[in-house]
Amino acid sequence: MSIKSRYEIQLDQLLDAWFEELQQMPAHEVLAGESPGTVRTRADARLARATQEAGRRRLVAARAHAALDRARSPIAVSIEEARAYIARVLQDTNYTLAARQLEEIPDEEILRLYEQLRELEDP
Amino acid sequence: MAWDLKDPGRLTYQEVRDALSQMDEVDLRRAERIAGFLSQRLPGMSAEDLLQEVYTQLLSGDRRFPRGVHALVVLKTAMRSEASNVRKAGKASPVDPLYQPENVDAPERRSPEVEHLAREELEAVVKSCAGDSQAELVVLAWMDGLKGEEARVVTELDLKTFDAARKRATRKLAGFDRAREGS
Repeated sequence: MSIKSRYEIQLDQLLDAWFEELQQMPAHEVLAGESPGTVRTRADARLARATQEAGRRRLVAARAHAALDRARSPIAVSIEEARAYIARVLQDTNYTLAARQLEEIPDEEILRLYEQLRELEDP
Repeated sequence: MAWDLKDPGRLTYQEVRDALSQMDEVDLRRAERIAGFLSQRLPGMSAEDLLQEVYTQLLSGDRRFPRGVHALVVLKTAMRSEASNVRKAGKASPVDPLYQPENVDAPERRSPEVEHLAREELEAVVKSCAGDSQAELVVLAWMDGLKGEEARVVTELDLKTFDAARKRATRKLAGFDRAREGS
């Protein structure tokens, strides 16, 4: 929502009226001697640059969002579930760690390891 | 704002790309004319910069591309909004501290400085018709929200004179008398 001043409203009204005139202006007058090919080449280059920059911004935003999620959400898994998950991953990846060694790892470390493995799984 | 896939009223990323790439050359040139008009008094931003920034915001999902609205209309509205944001960010921050340029959809705050900027811009637009009093009358009527016959009546010009003045005003505001900026 925005509250506009009198001058801003006048500016919007001017732009709207002028825009209508511009839309009605014949094609040859709009182009004013410039070839459609030149306009197209410029527009294609603009679209390519904007697509690249938009991709970069989306990636930055996604990373920031993921970091915020990680910082805010506690690990929603029990110690038992985390231990079972890690044991399964270790088995699947043929990682040599005895069940006894896994049991010796403190709960806090188990949760940290669990979170790291889940991140690797869902980048 | 990011892409909201649950919003059926906005185009998806691919649809935005299609809409922009399928614009014809005449509308593309119209978009450049509008960018030229809106960027004339922008600090450090050319017409091409403004147009590309709006393309980027639409493609990144930071700006909503409403479904069923012509691409040129979307570009015009987005450029007007972005130009206003840039102007405020460049000049109004000391007296408008709650303004948040990073969020284009945030509620807007107004200050005397922002109003002053809009007034300055209006005066500059009228000045672009200096020396052509009839075109200036047309621009003043447009500023008051009048179009077509209503505008003609207010200007007290006859039909033929008004028509010619209207066309001259359109060309002056479109920058036909200036070199093409920023592209």
